[in-house]
Amino acid sequence: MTATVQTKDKRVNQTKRKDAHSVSKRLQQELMTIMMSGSSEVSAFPDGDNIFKWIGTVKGPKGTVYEGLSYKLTLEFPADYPFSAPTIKFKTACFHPNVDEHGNICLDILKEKWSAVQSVHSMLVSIQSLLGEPNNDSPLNTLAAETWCNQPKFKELVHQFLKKSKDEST
Amino acid sequence: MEFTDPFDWPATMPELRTIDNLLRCGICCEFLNIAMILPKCSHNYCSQCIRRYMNYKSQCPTCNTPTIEGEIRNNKVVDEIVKNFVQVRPHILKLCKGQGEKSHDTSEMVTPTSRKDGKRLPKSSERASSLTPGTVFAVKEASRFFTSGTPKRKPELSEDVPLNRSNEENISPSDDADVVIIDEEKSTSPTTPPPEGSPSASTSNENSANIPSTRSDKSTCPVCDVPVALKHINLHLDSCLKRSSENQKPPRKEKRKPLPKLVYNIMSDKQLRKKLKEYKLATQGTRKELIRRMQEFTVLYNAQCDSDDPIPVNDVIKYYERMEKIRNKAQPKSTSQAFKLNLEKCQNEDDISKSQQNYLQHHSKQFDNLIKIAKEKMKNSKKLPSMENAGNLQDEPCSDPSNPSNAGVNSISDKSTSDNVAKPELLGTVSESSGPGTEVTEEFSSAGSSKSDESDLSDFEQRKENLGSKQTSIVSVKSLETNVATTSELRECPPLPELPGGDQNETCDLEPDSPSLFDSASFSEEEFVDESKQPETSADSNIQTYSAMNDGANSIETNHMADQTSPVFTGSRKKDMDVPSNAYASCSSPSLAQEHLQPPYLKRDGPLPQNKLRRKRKTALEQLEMDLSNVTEDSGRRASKRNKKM
Repeated sequence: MTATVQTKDKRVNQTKRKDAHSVSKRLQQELMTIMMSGSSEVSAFPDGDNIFKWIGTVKGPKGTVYEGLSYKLTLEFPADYPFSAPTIKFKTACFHPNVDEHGNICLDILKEKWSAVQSVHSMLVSIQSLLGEPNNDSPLNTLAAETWCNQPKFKELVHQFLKKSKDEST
Repeated sequence: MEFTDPFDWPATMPELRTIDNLLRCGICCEFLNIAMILPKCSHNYCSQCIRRYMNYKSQCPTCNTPTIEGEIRNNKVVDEIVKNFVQVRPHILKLCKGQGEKSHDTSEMVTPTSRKDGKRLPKSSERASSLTPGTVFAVKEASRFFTSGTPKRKPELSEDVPLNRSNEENISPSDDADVVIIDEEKSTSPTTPPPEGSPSASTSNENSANIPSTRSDKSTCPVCDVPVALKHINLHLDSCLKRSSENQKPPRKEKRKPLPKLVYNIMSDKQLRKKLKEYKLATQGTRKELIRRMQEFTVLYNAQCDSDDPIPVNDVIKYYERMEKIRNKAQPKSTSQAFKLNLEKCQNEDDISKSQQNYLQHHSKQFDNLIKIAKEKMKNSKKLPSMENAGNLQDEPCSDPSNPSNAGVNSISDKSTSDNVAKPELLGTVSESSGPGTEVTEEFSSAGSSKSDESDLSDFEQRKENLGSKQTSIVSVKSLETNVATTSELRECPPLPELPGGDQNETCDLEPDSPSLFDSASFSEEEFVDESKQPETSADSNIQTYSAMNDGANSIETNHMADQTSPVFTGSRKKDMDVPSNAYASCSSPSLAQEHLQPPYLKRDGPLPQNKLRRKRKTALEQLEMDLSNVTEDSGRRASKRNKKM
């Protein structure tokens, strides 16, 4: 008797657990992780009620031209996340060899090298490190790729770019 | 739903955090459910997750080692560890926190796991401390197995932990969930022979009773090798044989075979449907949906095949159907919200008119509601002081219905009135010059919005003044009604959380600065701006008006979303929409609005006989309602007529 009851219980538990396999469950879990980790370098939070759309913030890595700056990104999750990669774009204009004027990012792990074990946190950290170490061989912004070797000038351009975009938005 | 996280563990115990993390699937971030190991890289995932992932890529998600689905193997050790860890997790968590705080509750928190002998309470904490390291040790052991992946010590482990727990739980009957586990342990591993010296309870009792007296009459049972008194041997043998046959039953249960992976590209729709039917799945939908259904079901089914105790196939089907329902429900939600007019360039007229009619039908209740509100509003206005020149009101419905510039003037006048608020010094001249247009603006607010009655009054006054003095700018009532209709429809779009109702009117009278007033009044203005961009000269332009509805609906929707969050938001949103935010400020305080909207010369007017005003207002509003219903019907008829012509 007890045996049947338990197996039923177990089954209920199993189905309950499998319910969790939905996209939103995973996103909620990720949100929890990112909130609990208390990292000040990167952060992200859903944009409004829609958990499929987040706004992320990445701080410029220390020791690079982006130090002291913080960039906002938009993250959009497909219905089959995490099996398909999210769409991540820079919301704040970013002068960077691998970022185009619309904020699109050229990063292999966001495209063909995407894997289901990647998370919002790992993505944002990757983007942060991309800021400091651009891949100048496949540039989206050729001007930025060319100026990269001239760091002081690059820094100037980065700040100019940021200011310009801020002016435009206001 | 409860969320557990590796960060639940205090930072002082990074090892526990690591264990927690290691026992989770990298894909779903949950504890592993039917763990599967990839033999090439020995990474573990839930069966379901990794199988689904293999539909996308044939490699390990973590290290990208190429692996095919056929290679993945069960990792039952991990399953056991997870099962036990999940059970013991809350207890350890409590212990960790208790130790951290050194609170008095420690002993209490521990009792469920340490009630071996509940006689002496003071010692229970001591016992707990002696027990907890054991449990923690067990978990640590488990993690060691997990990381090293040596299955040699499995039996030791699986006996160790459950035995340990069984001692505790047998004595603490309150903890039902845990009792279940022990039995589960027995039922899931029935192959293990009953341990020596512990046969069924009845025989052991007999033994203990008999051993001292009749030692010589004993013989060992051939089945379980336990010495049994000769006179009981038959009885014992019966029960023993019965038990052993019971034990052997479950293993005979055949392992479910996984479904083969189909090559959907070379399958016809017919074949697909046949296959789906075979598994009692729904066969409707597009080819894409069919393939997806089959794929998902295969994943679920095969994941269950990996389990020792798979869910019956029927339950898998049911579970899949539920999941699909949830998915379908979620999808339209994420793409387009609720019901609104979605028109595209390439749609033909038929579709458009149909969707328009649908829209009207769908929202007819809300339209009715609005009419009711308008009526209430009218009743409320009885209290008001009246004004002169009301005679013009009756003339209005039959006034000349031709003023093409009307719509254009509307928007201009609205903006100019909003400017008035921004620059009070311009007030007199601007509002006077914008006279002909403002009347329409005011008509809107008086008909539907919850602007205060005082400002209403001024609106009427103003309008009458205009009608009386400038015959050239008389507004076509028909178009005016269309405007009102659309305004009210717009205001009643589905996502609106509340109506600008009669009770709100009352609060408006009391506290002119209430935020609700601000909201409703503000969006009435905005709608107005929105639709005034559309040409609405005669009733013929109804269709256009309705298409304009779409824009309006959108704006209000967003607007309202903002309203719900915070009033600060509203301001910024509205700015985004190129509507001067000052316009709303003008409505936030009716008394202020009245002062600014009302041309100075009107202020000098004396009061009207109240009864007269009331009557006239009533007739005007009734007329409005009638025309409103006519217009809604008309639009449908006209649309169908047009289509016929086409």
